[in-house]
Amino acid sequence: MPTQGPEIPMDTDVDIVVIGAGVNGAGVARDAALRGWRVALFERNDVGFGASGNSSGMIHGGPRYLSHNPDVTRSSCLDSGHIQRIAPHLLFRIPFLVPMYGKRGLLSKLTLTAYDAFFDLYDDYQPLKHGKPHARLSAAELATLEPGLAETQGGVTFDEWGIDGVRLCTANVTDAVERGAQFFNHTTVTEILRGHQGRATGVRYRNTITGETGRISARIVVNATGAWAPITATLGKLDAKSAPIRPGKGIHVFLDRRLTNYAIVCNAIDGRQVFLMPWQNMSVLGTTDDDFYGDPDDVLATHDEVRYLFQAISRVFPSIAEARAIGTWGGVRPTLHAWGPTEDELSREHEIVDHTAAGAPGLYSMIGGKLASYRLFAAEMVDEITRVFGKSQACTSHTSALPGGSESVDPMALVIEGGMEAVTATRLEYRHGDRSRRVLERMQRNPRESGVVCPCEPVTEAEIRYVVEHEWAVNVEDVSRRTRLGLGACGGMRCALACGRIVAHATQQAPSVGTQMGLTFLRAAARRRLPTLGPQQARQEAFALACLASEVGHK
Amino acid sequence: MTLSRVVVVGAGVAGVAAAWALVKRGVQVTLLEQRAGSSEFASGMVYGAPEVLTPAVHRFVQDMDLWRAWQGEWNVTSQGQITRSLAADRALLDLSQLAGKTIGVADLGRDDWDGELMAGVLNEQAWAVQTHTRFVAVAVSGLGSNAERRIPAADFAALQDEPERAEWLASQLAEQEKRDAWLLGPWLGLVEDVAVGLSSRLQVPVGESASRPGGAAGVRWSQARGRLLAQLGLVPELGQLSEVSLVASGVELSVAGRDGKNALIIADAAILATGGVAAGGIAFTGSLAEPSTQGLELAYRAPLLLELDGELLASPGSRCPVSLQSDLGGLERVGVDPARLSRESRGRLAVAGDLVVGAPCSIGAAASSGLLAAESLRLN
Repeated sequence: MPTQGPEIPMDTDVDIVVIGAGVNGAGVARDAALRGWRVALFERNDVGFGASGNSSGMIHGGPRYLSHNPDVTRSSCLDSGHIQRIAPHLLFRIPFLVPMYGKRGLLSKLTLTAYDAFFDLYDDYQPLKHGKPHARLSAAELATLEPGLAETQGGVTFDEWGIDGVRLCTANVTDAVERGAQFFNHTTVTEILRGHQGRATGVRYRNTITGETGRISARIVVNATGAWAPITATLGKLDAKSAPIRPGKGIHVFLDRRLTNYAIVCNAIDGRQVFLMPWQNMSVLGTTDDDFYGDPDDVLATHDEVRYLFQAISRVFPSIAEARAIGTWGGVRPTLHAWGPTEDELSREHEIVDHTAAGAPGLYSMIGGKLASYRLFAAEMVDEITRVFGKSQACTSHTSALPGGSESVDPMALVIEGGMEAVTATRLEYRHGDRSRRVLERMQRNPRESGVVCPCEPVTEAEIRYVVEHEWAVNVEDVSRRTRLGLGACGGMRCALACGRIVAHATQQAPSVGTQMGLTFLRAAARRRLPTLGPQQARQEAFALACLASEVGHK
Repeated sequence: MTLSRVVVVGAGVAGVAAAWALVKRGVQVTLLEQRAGSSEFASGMVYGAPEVLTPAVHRFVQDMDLWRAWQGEWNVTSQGQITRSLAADRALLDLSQLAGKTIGVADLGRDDWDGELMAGVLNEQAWAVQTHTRFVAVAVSGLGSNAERRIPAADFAALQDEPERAEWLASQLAEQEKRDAWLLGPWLGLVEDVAVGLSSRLQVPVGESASRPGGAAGVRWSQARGRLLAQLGLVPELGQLSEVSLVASGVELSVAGRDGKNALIIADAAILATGGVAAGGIAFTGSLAEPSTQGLELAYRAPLLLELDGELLASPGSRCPVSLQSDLGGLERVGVDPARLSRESRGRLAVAGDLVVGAPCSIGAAASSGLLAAESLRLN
């Protein structure tokens, strides 16, 4: 029964305003659009700019949470299975190894047995996400699988799924828009409007690039801004504490290639679990979890955090010392607030805050959550809204495919039809699923666009133009987030300026604007890369940047 | 008369200029090289103040047989900026005679050169706007195979050295609507004067943009250097200088060869032209603990630590691949007090190139400083 039905105004511009196009906000926008609601989605920075795009890139079942929050493990596994069904192209299998160290003897045998029993428990959840059961391995078997490991006492394997978080967000936003939602990228909400009896009645907004402002009225406003949630709450003149989170910073270091076949889990100096995993075409080393008090718009890894991770992994995988780190990403988890527990012990569950109690009916904040269970969280949010609207519509977000996920495309077909190189086709198909055909069509219409702009990933001009025209990218950073352009070993030195000019051309701006976009990207990338560089590498980087700056006439 | 012997350390523009001047004076020269330095990163453009063009520099430039007359021109950088230079590699298009004309930007289909975007960038440049010069993208089929789209620019340039290939390119350009000039990417040959050949064939200037580091212009510089050194009868020896000592009879240089063994070279005098890049002169000034872009400054400093009997005389840079342990001379320009030099040690040692300037120096300044260094030596 609707509790607030009579009070809700009906003649609003949209039914629901969603603030934040991370995975939760994009998920809510999509789910609501699927159920026929009129939605406006606002994003201050870019799709997947925060925790969604800077996570570990896994929709893992969370064996880490099995001891603290088994419910999180269960819901994560269940939803991981759903995501596989609606976006099969975005998932890739990451098998994990947990090597055992210590003296040979009873103790290590017992520990291994304990691990075995622990993963027996986890195996119960694996079928939910089409994962394989764990296996116990001898030291010799482990050495065959990963010859780079320091001598072990055996170990166990378990199975997880990797995903590109930004692609997942983009697919949700795309679907929402195709189903009638409006999306305002690079548009910050400046005020949550409050009307009669304090009811949230809409928002005022400003485009951070063009400066354009406007207002839009709505029946419900959803604050899905993750680490920004307390700040967003204050835009509705509510106390920041009304959307309580305990922000936890996590950083990852990425290395220039796949160093291992398996992800390797090990303990850091403080006993925390960290990992080195093959992810897309590189390796990712992660992660940290520390209380964060800084600006969520500008999260940077520090040299200390990088060294903490390298110190941990080098004990089990010594040759990491010879690997080349090419960058970092940092994100802030919007973890549920609790006073007391250590960061790792904090609950990974999610929670919907109804601000009616704080005198702001019609305003909700989504707090906490995980990438793996975003869809469930979004469904719960939209269920609640639907109930308030006095309707009951079943959620279909787990049965209808996300854009790109309706049919499988053989990358080799793209090679044969489009003359693409196999790697280009494979990577394109990973990111766009069946929509890679639309990129292919562009290339066939205009062969010039089949040129590879970023050879590391690789990314073609057609894909850049596609993400500008259809995925709301307006600068090189946006393109990079969607296509991974400029994130390879060359750090964008070869492609950023060219990409900038293509973006400028596609958006009818002067080429100099594009050059500037390219330089902005390179400076930001250099800033993220710096904590991983030794003096020698930093010198080379300085030289490369100076060369590029002189080529574009910046002294 | 005993033949004087001078060791020139570093075979970039400054070192080669010094060696050239010394050989012309009849001095026996040993040229030492550690590895490719900033001269190999040549863009094809020559910067430098016109004042550097002394008659000696002029003769050196003529003998190098790589650049056009040093009289000032306008060129296109690899990123489509139009900038003024003192001179350029003959393959580069000189825009100074093309003001107000229509220039075809040939798009051969290479991934690194999108004619339309490049023409857009060029038309936006202040020079083009002021002089009403127009750049027009023209699609020209110039690739022999699909792989040629993305091979490195220098490799693609090497392909144009083949006569049939250059001939074909000329016929492709000739088929197009006539333009006042043609601009191409930095691909016009490594050995042959492809640009010159195309220009005379088409009766209009044809040239390329400047190269990025590792591009064709750097290779052409190496080639031209090789030809000049062969004429002079010099072969650079590979080795890394670790120590220089001034002794009564001259200069002693300790040099680590490729085999890692140290060899002692005794000479009458030495010229240090170790450059910025090869000697690790790009300073990393930032703190690693605090992420900032500040640490990524390109800050060449002369990577030379000068000691006299254990006392620091001048330390223009933070690195110290070379230490001088005895009387020294000829080093006023890097901050050494001439009063400290003994009479017999003067004119035994000189520095040139980036070391003198304490910053990345232009080709003009490098050539000029090499010649001055050679002149400053006092030889029997």
